[in-house]
Amino acid sequence: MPKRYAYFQGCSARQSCPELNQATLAVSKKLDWELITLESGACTGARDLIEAQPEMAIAINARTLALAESRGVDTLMTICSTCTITLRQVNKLLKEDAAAFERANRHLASIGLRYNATIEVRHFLWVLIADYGLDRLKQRVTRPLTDLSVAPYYGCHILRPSDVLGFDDPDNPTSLHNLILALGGRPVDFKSKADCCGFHMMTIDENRAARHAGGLLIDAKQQGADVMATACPLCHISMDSWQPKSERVLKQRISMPVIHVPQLVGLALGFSPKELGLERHIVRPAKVMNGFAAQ
Amino acid sequence: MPETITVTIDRFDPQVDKTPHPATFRVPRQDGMVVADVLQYLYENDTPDLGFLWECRTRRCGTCAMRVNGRPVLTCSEPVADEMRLEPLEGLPVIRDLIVDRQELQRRLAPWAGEAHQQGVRETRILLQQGEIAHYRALSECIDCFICDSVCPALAENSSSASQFAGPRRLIRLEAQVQRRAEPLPWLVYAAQGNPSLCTRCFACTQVCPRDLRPAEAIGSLTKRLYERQELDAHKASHIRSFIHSIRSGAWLDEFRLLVDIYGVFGVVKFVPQALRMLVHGKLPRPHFGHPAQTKDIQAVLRGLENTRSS
Repeated sequence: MPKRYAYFQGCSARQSCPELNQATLAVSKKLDWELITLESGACTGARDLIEAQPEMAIAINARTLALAESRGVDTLMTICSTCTITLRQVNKLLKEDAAAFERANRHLASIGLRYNATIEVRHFLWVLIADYGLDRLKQRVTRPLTDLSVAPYYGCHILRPSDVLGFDDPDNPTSLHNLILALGGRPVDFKSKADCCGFHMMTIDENRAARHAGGLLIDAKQQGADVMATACPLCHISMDSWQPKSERVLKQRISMPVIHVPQLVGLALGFSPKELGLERHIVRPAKVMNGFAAQ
Repeated sequence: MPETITVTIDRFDPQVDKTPHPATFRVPRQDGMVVADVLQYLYENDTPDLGFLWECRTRRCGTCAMRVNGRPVLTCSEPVADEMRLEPLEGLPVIRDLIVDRQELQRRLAPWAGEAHQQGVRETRILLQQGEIAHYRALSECIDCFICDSVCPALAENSSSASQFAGPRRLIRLEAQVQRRAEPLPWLVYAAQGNPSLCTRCFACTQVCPRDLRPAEAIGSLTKRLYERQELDAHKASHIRSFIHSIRSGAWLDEFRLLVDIYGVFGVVKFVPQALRMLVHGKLPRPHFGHPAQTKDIQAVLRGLENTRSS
């Protein structure tokens, strides 16, 4: 029987990173997961709403959690790290703070919803490792990522703070490293793997953010990575969509392709680069496009 | 459990060395040993010229902060591991071995502390309610260990940027000041000058704070206060307003509108090359119109919220 998950695609995968949604749906289908897309959900408000208007953030995200619960599942699967931290933070509050729980449910009652706090918010990467299992995934690999050196980039909101996230060790994360090994690729260790991508300061000071993101890409490149894999579309925007800006600010050619984790999995499961939307990237993952298209 | 601990220390004397060089030592293990004990043993028995600092040994002074196996900690309470690499805190100039120069960051704190006094600002202190005491006491327990500042990526960018971020240590202290005063000025002015909007929201500071003071959340709290008083950085305030508008009117974030809200209709012109690239790759966000039923639902929830607030 296929495992069922409520699926929260977030805003970026609907707009500036549509290939992430495309790859997630393709891979999930291949792994026999039944995804119930929460089209009727809402943006989590990212860090902006929870900081500036926390009560609104709690109400809006409680609604999304209640919608997931109403579909009879136990997991709300996310594909964006900032959505993950925000939904988990609200969920934690609703599970631990009786007053906040009651307040949120009073607001939800006006639209006929109730949240019973039974949902776990989990990122695609966590579901893949904890529910599906890397050993089982290895057996599904039809096209190992042999000779592909992949820099596992974790970023922040899938690791820290660990009392909200709690899946991986924030000091020495290994989940992506292990996934790359399971897919037959070569993980490339690099110092900046758990550093911030700078996305959340991008609209405040573009040059500062672009310089910062460029530094991470150069670090991965210097360690010999062919591509970088990220679990968050916001990190992807910082490091792929804005890579030309980083190159201008740093006055240096970088050319480091950045791909989404579901795309990496999809390649090993036999999908073509086009089926995973890899042609949409600003920095063309040439080695992946050429190597995998030919096979 | 091995009888000895292997410890590698980054030795560095700026008068002799160009870069730090590792030196490895073995230290006999004792029950309940912490990293500071190892350093003390080495100083007394092996390397009397080893540069390191400690003072209170009770987690109160913050002097003994350094990196142990890559993680910034207080050595006076950090249990030993079989193999350890000790390095100075990141992001601060090294004076010698494990001692860093904290003066530059310390100076960042000093001007505002004295400025209020010099300007003759009359401070009105307020009585805290019972429930607020724990929160205030928590924030005021910052011990100036500089661990949060040492891991802050936004602070690290100051050296190559015109804009300057005050860093989590200074901002958490400002938040503590604001919390206990009826009139939060001038503390909020200092907070605004410290550019909390440049915080990357990476939570590195919250993760490592040895007192568990959650500096990232304190920066979030300052952001809320500045937003409500319309004293937040204009781009950040527009960013927040755009999120709220998008959710209210169409449930999901309208990325296209977000840029227009922040930079203005004429301001987005500079993004034309980027937009063309994204258009060619099928990644250009399009104006987003919400689903009517979904939007109605959200507005009903928010009306309930507003009614609760006003009552």
